[in-house]
Amino acid sequence: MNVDRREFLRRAAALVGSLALPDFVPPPAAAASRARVPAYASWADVYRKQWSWDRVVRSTHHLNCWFQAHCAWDVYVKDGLVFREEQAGEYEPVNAHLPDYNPRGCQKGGCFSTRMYEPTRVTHPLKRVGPRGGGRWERVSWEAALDDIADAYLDVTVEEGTDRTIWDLGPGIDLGVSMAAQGRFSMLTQSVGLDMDGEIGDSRRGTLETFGKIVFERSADDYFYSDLILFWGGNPLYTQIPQAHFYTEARYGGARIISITPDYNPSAMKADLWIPIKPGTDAALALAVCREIVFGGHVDEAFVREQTDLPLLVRGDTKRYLREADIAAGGQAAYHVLWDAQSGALRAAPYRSLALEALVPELDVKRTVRLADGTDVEVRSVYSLLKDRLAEYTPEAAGAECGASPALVRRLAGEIIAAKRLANISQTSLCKYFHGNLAERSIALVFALTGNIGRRGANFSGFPLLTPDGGDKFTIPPSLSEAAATFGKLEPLIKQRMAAGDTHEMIVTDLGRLLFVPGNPLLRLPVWTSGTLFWHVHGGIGELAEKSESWGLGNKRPLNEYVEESIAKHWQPLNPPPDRPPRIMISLCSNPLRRARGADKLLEVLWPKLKKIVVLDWRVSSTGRQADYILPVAPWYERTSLKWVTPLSPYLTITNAATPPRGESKCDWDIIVMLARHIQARAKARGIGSVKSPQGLEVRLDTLYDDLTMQGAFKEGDDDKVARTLYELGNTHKKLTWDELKEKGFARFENLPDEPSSIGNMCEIPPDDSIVPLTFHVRDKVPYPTASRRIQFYVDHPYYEELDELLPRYKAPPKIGGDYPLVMTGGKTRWSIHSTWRDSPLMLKLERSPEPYMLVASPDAAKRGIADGDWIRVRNDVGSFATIARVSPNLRPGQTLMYHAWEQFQFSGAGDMNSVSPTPLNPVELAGGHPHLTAGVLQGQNSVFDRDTRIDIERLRGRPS
Amino acid sequence: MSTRQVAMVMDLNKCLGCQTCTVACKTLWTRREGMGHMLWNTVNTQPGTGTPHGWETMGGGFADGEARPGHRPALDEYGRDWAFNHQDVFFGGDSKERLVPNGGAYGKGANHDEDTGAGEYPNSYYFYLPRICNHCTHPACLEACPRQAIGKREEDGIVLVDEGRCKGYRFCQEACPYKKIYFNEEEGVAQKCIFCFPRIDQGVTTACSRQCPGRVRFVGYLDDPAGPIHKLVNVHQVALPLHAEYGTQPNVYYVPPLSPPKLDPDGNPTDEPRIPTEYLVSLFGARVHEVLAKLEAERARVRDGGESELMDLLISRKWLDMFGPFTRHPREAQPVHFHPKRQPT
Repeated sequence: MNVDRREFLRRAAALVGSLALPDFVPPPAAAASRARVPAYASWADVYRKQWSWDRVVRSTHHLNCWFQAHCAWDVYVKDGLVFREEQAGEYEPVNAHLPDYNPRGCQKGGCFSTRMYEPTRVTHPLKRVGPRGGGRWERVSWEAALDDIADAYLDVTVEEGTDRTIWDLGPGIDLGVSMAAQGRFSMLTQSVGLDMDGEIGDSRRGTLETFGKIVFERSADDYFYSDLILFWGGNPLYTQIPQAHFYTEARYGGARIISITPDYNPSAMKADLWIPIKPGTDAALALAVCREIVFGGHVDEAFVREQTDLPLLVRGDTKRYLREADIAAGGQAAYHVLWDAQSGALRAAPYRSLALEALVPELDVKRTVRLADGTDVEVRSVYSLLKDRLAEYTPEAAGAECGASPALVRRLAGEIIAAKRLANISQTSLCKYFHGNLAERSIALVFALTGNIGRRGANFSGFPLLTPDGGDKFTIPPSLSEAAATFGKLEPLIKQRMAAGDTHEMIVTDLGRLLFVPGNPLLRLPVWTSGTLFWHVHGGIGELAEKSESWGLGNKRPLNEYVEESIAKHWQPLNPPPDRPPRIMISLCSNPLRRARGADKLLEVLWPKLKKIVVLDWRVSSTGRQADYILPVAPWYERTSLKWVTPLSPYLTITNAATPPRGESKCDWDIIVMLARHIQARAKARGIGSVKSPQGLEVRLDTLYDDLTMQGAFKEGDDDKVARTLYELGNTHKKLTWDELKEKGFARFENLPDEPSSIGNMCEIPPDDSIVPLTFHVRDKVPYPTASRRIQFYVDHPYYEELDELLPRYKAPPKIGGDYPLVMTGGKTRWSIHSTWRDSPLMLKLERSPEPYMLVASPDAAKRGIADGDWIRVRNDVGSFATIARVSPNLRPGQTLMYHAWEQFQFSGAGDMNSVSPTPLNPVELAGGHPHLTAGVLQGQNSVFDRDTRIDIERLRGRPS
Repeated sequence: MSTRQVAMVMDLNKCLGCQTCTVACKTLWTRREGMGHMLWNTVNTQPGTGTPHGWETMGGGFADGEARPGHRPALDEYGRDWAFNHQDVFFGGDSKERLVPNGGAYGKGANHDEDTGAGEYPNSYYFYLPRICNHCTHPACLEACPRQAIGKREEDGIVLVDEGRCKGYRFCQEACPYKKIYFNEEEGVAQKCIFCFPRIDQGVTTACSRQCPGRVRFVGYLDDPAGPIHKLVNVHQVALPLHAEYGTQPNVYYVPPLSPPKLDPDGNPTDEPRIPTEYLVSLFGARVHEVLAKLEAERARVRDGGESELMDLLISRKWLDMFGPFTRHPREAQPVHFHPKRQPT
């Protein structure tokens, strides 16, 4: 069709004016746009007009980008709508040697301006009509919705108890404004929040076992100092888009990159060497490298003597560490023992510091010693035990297990030994394998043996987290003026522990652990519990593991025995306990039906127990579809908030309201405060005063709103005031005022946060250099928060003995789901942050397929008569689903791969990708009663394991109905 | 001939395949009606069919100075603008309703062969190739237009379709050997990458380059001795045009990709890169051999403690150094105001 020039300009101008928004958006001043038409002199003006705006506001996207969080964006507003965003690009250089952080950002953030106006957006409270999941909704008022929820809450709380209301916190939690509301609500009502770190597969279990913590990571620019970077358990080109340039630029800076992964993934592309291995065999490869280091005489002895448990002695009879109390009357049970070559005698290992002073611990010890009671026992150092273990891992033997040639194994070891500053990028992939803890312990051993920990450019990568630390001061005390008195109650305990030689880090970590002990005598706190155990016991996921004895897990007893023992001994937290079913679930921007492996079971087992399911979200998710209410949350361009980031990009990054909340949506702070208001009003109206928590704490229902808002000091509409207060209460930032921060959008962390989820980094945050975690241990000799106070490779817990995991080792991958020929691996998609953009038309248009697809290795597809694009059924003993096969030459034969986060409603036919993943618990993760294996904030809880899922696939004739 | 030529260098060793460039372009320029299927910027996995699918086999350009016949890509070859059924899924009252574009008949999207490539495991290989209009010095589209609606700007050589003159004959689509021209059926005109001329005019670099988190794209004048383009193209000579044999003298240049070594039948590494160099030569010409060797030699020099201007350039420690004279912050630019009452706040 042809249109003349005038007609073309008129139409184009009108379209620019309305930004081609979907129908449901009221056309903004369409008449006004047309009125401006005469101003367009030429076609070029149409384009100039497209790049024009009324206002620019600095903001970001506060969701769980985790490794990629966060980026400062300019949000461009025109005609009252956000029409595009562009990175701020104003990160100052850290120093002259390091590349700067600009511009950050990714394609998801770059189209949120589109996403927030898509049909998935919820703008009014919605109440289910008809059965759950039936797809029928009615628009209701906030008043009606909150009164109904408040009444249900009061019924449940009065009749069944305070612990029957569950906060499904999910990975969207911000530890900022929304968590300030949720935290105060939970603290006051003793309702239970689910800690999802393990349940989303981020447990980093082997790191916890080794370092006593999982949180420690460097800034991404620190990789620029490395001379050898291992992509081992991470795909950073794909999942760390904003900072991936540091890795490619490090290559130009002289670093080499080695990628170790089953499939030739987008990160392997940037490597100087790619080592293809079988899925789940990383421990074998790592231990072979360790063998080359140890038997080749390349151990950094000074480092391992001081920083690790390798010189510590273990009793042959009990398989437990030898303690000072064993060898000397009046000796300390807490003190470990080593053999001092200087004095030729047993000596207690340093306790208050790692510094050896005059001690020269012998590494390779095997001797008989006399105990205090006169008996003789054989003792061996951990190093001596490890040497025996490592002897099995010749390059030939390990190569046969992991599928790498012996020459390739030796090449890897040789490059590692030659490196001066070795770094790895291990994200949260290995811990999604059933024996991933052993892989992490084995890789950590490579770094410890070579002394590549806690130095610039040289580090084992833990889990990244960096949190502004004002939240606890806001959440926990009755009011801000009572904060000093509230926390003052802890003073005697802190002093006593410091005097006894415990470190600041240990004490802060332990205070975090109190969240899991409701009714603890020290401090009234919000209640947290293990998300994985909650789904397993209350959600019915445990039923999927009924056939697990045939999956080769290597358990010595039925799985339930371990679970029951762990819960009975309070080794792992589960609230409410198994005999008290949950009744109300409030999802705070969380989507367990998309996320939880085996989520079908939640619908079958958990859903009927729940009297109310309330989802707070800005969009319709799989979980929202099955809820009773969807309450519309205002997303990030419509509110103020602050949130945690990670050391990889150590910039606190805030959101600002560029436009008002659409429709009737509200920020989640407001929604939770309003819920409290309705509960209080309904309690008064119904004559309900207070109830007791199961542990005996008084829960006042008729003053809940007053208490939550600190007697009205922080109420509805105060999200900006709360954010300011949290910022000002914290110690991480002093240079910028809150108003300056809001203008600038981001601020580099200045100090290490003094709170449980971030203190593990244990380092300074220099203004003019990269961040090097664990510096306080390695440089300043502060003990680690492990049982042995050192980097610990020997875990002397009864479960570890029972399951032969006292030392790092390799265990063959189990066959979870049954004995099927293919392994189903996975990974984070590049196209969405979890499910947040998963159904975005623009992202789907740019992805390989707009529907769920499974990558299948070419020979496996050919063998089954499957062509690229064919529909296939995926099945094993626990379930099945249908998907599209995309045949790839980059997959290892026997491996299949599905990138994550497809919503249930994107799968044709019955089932979804979680239907085949039963994810049985690993008994070692049920361990407790032990200094560093006790559950704490975001660590020490059960994980999920979907990477060992076995499946087979068959061709379907077409799309299943 | 233009007096100056603005150009772009894309470093394929830094490209992440994330399509932030594509999205930056899409949200800024191609949201008008009739533009749904347009991706003026694309990123494709090579070897592959690219966008539009099979564009390298569609002809156009010049052979021995003579115009070569070309195929005009069909909508299906670009990838259609899909219609999704969100409303039905969320609110239609049928729990079995599934989210599927175009009722399932959606054909191939623009990035259909994402991360596929070629070769056999464990020696399979692929890399990303971002593409925009090449703003050629000898544009085939310009010569093919009977309306003389396509021009090269005097001051910087940006090739633009005059949408006022364009009558929608679409000879340009046949003539462009890179198949980077789209047709807007609603407006009846050909549309393509405008090298963000409204931004360039105000000293702001293009959206695709400024928004690239991988820091892949350098922008500047080819003749600016202080700028990165001149240094990479003319001084160090590591940036090569794509399919120079098409005869249009493109002004987008590429630093060719290194790749990890091939493994021999025993699984041991060889000295040979896994991307066959001959394949890269087919894209970027015979100088690929020399460029790859130079990149490795300069890396080795830096690894041994030496200095390398080339490596420093490719790193670009200061991000803004990538954009030559176009370093103005977009927020500081003066938006064009057609309505006197509206002022930026």
